[in-house]
Amino acid sequence: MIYRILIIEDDLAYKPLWADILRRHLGDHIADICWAVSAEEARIQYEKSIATKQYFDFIITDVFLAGSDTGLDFVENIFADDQEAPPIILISSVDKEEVEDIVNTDSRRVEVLTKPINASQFKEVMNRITENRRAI
Amino acid sequence: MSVDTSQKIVLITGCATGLGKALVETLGRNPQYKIIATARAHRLDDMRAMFVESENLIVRELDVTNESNIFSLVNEIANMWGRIDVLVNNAGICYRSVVEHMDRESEMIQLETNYLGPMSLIRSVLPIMREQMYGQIINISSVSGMVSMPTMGSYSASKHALEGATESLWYEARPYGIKVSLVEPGFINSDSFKNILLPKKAKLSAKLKGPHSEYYKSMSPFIESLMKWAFATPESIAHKVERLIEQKNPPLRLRVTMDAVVFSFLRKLLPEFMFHKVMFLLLPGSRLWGHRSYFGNRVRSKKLNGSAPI
Repeated sequence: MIYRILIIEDDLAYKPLWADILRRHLGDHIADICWAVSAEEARIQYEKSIATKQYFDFIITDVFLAGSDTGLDFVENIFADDQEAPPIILISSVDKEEVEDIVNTDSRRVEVLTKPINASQFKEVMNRITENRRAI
Repeated sequence: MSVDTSQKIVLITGCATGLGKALVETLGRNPQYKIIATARAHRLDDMRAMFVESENLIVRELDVTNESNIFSLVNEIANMWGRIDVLVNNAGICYRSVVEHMDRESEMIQLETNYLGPMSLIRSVLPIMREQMYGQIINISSVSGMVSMPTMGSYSASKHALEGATESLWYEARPYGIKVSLVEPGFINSDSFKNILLPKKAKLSAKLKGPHSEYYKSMSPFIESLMKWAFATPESIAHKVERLIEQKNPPLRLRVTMDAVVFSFLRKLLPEFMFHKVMFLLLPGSRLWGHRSYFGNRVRSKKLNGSAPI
């Protein structure tokens, strides 16, 4: 099973960290990690993935990003267009419950994790995502 | 068409609240003036309830961001009264946001209202004033037109732009007998000046205690308390604007509140490198900015030291 992942994060210091973490969880099953520093750029990459049918298996996004939009705007836009959008892991340095209220995580496949990310919580989220994918 | 010059025709923008409202009330008591009080469409009912229209006072819709609205209003005034003597560019809005949280759309709204709108109005009335070899343009700027404070970047930029263009206009209009002035109020004791706008990122950050929320947390109460304790009121400033209209040789810049006078003095007194350092130290909570200590999260250094446990 091969994964395509989109990471939206404006702090480039996280780039090697994310590559390392994802490799630790998914082994060699990563086809591609795409990187966007703004929600606007992420939206372009997401639309391109649909046009080329190279779908993302999941998306990881920070809340506060470069550009005008936030990670929450990205989630809103994606789910407004497509209720079957890939699961999104929202990484927040702020209060988790308030973020969950704003993005309405009950009715969407959105997981919220707070920074600094706890390894076991991240593993749980990854397990849920990978199991769901196998079930599909 | 014979033109009556016994009264001055005064066009004022943004008259529904604050200084604009006070200006209409103050000038409206003086039979020497015919006033065109304007505001955006959604404030017109309030305006008509506040002001009794007469031969010396008319209320009209004007959205300063809509150029065709400006052209047709100026056309109407010119047809009705044959001249325009004074333009007071008062309408304005204020976004409060750190630079990082502003977005292009909010920047454009800010600039269109505080700079591009007044410029369109000036371009509309200037040929008329030039032909009549008389006129006065008063642009309501702000202390933010000379000093920029944190969270006021976009507003300050719009006022700096207005100040720059007004200064050029002063030279260009002078040979035609057109007087040009900038009025620089600072903190005013009025509820209407608390009507500030937040772009969505600033709103979210303030709500979630996100990046830069410490600026909003310290600056907003500081500005509000300065407004609360300010001596200047919209009415006191309106009287100063009335005197400015009556002056034969009005100054280019008129600082109308104590803090505006003090800031202007400090800017001249202190060398630039010192001015900003002193301001930084004096602003409340400034030592905590960037550390996000309000919620105990010194993000960057910890992350780069490898303590992010992922």
